[in-house]
Amino acid sequence: MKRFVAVTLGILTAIGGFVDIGDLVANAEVGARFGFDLAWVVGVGVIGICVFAEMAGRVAAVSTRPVFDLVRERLGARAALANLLASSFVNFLTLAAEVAGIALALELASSVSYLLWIPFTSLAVWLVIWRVRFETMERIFGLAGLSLVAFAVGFWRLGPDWGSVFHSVSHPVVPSGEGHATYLFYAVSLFGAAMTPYEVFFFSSGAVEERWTTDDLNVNRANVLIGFPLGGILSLSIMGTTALVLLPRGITVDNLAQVALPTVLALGKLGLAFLLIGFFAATFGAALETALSSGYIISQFFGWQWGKMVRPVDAPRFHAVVLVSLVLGAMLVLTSVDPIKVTEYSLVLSALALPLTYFPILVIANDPDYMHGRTNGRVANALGSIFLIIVLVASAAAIPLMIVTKAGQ
Amino acid sequence: METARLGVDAVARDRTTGPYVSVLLGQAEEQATSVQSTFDSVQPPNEDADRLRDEVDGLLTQAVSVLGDVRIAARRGDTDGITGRGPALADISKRLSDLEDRLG
Repeated sequence: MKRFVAVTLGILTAIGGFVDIGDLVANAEVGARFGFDLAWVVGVGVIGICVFAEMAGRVAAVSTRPVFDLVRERLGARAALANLLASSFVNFLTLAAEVAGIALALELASSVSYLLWIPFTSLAVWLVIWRVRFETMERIFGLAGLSLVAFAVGFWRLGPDWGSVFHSVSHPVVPSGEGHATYLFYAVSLFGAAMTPYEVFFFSSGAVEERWTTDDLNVNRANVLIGFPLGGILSLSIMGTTALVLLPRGITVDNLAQVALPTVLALGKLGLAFLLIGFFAATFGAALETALSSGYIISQFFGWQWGKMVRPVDAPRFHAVVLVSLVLGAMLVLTSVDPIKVTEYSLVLSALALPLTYFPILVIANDPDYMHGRTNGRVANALGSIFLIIVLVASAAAIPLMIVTKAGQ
Repeated sequence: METARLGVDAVARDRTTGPYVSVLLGQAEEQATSVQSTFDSVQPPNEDADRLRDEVDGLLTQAVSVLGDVRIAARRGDTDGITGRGPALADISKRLSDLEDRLG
């Protein structure tokens, strides 16, 4: 029974934890501009993150070492450094966006400017990392993030024509008035949102922190194969609400308030309350994950003592990196740069950095020296190879598409 | 304009909270101001363009003004003040849409 509860909680956490500010913004923007014509990308992204997160979790459980630690050892310092620089920069932008996301959620609840909330939210993130147990932290924010299920209820209450929705999803086209390049740019952004690198770094380092062993491989599979797809359904619901309400009125999404608007119209104040809790929890949880991921990858690259569960006095450099990342992220959004733009750029750069994250995972998951008989099977390798090609194409296309479309304008 | 209209509709149907609609309408006003500022910064190449500029700028000025009024009403928690400006928002939105159609 205890085991069942642990698995269920893990799955619920994965659902709530799947959606962050990038998913909120990207899915809402895409729904408002392209309807359901890019919904297929969410499906592709969810399968991709499932394939690689399962590998990363398995690598961590079998080797009892996190992925980034093994990347340096297996591929050498130079390849690991390239990975470190790219991932750290993407992590930094994502962290800034998530910190802004928490503040924006509080602004919607209070009408006090998000800029005034930034110092408090950053401090709160740091305090939670400092004081709250890993498992507690993961479950509180993952479960609270589940209140984003209001998007799914709102979508249903808006009364979509299911036949038309299914047709759009299964027969995607580039809508009239939108160019092919813009369509592809948003496809890459959505893909980047689903496969953000910090997710696997956090997932594998978290597995090590929670002392996973081969006995936990089923928990790993359940979390990944049930939790992430259900999280993907939340993403599609966000897309669906804006497709039904904003698209027909020609409204493009430029802020978090607009992301919530269709659900507010469908569900009223109660729906809004659920969304605000969900926004807060999803962005707070993701801020914790990105801040910790920054500490994880830098400490693991340099071979420093690391871990949220390790006392700060025993892992001072790890905790210093986490703190400095948070401060720098907060400073970036305090410059009053548009947080939605920061999110959009973080998604594109995330897509650019994907191969540096996912190629090493595929290599290590096939190395018998590390995996002790738990290397990838044929299906995992076939899917991993297919997704590696997709990741390479998305990465190569990200910057040219951003330039050609002026970041999707 | 359409975002603001949906926000006003939500207020009229008592489906939203004051702080949320205040932020939503404030951001709609900011966006309209930004559009007007960008438009005004473009140098009109000839006299025909001058006339078009005056027409569009006049409409945008009205839009920003009504959005400002709605935002102020929202900050004051004046529900009647918000919903009372619904027709003006609808009128300006239609005129902007007609202008867009006319210009292709």
